[in-house]
Amino acid sequence: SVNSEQPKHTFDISKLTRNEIQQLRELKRARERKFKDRTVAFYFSSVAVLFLGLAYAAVPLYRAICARTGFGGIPITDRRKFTDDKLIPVDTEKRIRISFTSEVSQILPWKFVPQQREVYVLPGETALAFYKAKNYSDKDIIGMATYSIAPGEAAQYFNKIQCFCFEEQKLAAGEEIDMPVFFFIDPDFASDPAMRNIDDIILHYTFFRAHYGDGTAVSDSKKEPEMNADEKAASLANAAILSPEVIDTRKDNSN
Amino acid sequence: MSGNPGSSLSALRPTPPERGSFPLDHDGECTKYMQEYLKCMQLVQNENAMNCRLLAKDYLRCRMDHQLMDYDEWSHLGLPEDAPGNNGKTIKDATDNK
Repeated sequence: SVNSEQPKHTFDISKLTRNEIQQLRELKRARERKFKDRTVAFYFSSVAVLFLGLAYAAVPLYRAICARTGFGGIPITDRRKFTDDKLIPVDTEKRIRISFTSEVSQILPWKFVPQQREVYVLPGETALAFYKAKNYSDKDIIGMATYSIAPGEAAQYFNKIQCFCFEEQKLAAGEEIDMPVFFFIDPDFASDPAMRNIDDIILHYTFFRAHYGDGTAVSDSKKEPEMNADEKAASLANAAILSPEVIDTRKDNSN
Repeated sequence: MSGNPGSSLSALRPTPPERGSFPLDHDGECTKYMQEYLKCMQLVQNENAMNCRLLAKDYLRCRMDHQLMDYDEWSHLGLPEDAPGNNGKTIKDATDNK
């Protein structure tokens, strides 16, 4: 009878040597490790791309949030905070007296006073007031103003549209400057029962001297002092004495 | 610190002004309008009367014209619009022409 060999369809692991089995196991392990490494790489790269996108989006998002809420001390520039309907005066019997006071730090050689003692306003009515600052020293100085409002409960209704606070203001030596404040009392003030007995609001500004690490907040004046006519004449006379006229001796020799 | 209210924590979080700080008028370009406004306030015992508000409007217009303030509509500043016949002149100019 013909003895035909049966074809090998099954993988007979028993016929492999120990070394061959070890190689197969390592091959499988390497393939699995490669797959895991690629998966981890994809995850990390996608996270990196996500955070890069967040970083780019953070700047406009932060600006939008600050414009809406004033977070971080950035002035609120979103128009929705002071819409036009908030700037319509409320028709009430009594007006609110806004008093203006001021104070200067002792180390700041400025004079800083309000130009008017008070103003009587209606809620929702915009008003303009002026302070005046004068630098008495012989140096250019940078000052910065902060404000406080009394009583404190009314501070939430005091809305400043534009003023001179929270930014550095540089006054040259001897300079005098008018500083306006443009503000209004929120119309909700009239309907708040807690504000019923408040007839006076005090706006108090304090000017401090700015301080830089390198001392550049105070600088020497760039303006030269102006001399009057007598001083000029004396100066010219001194110049004439100190600089005698040069005589050309060659003329005398030729004569 | 005198004048600082200590009774409320909300006062310790001051809100910045809506449009930041006015630029300083170093050259005194709008001093004339300010003096007229302050004189008007004295006449009405510091009540925020309409004629004084019109002078305040002249002052703010001067600041806008001299790049000391951003241009804006008067309704956004709570002030009345210009009268149609004035052609942008100030109230004082309109009064002088009459």
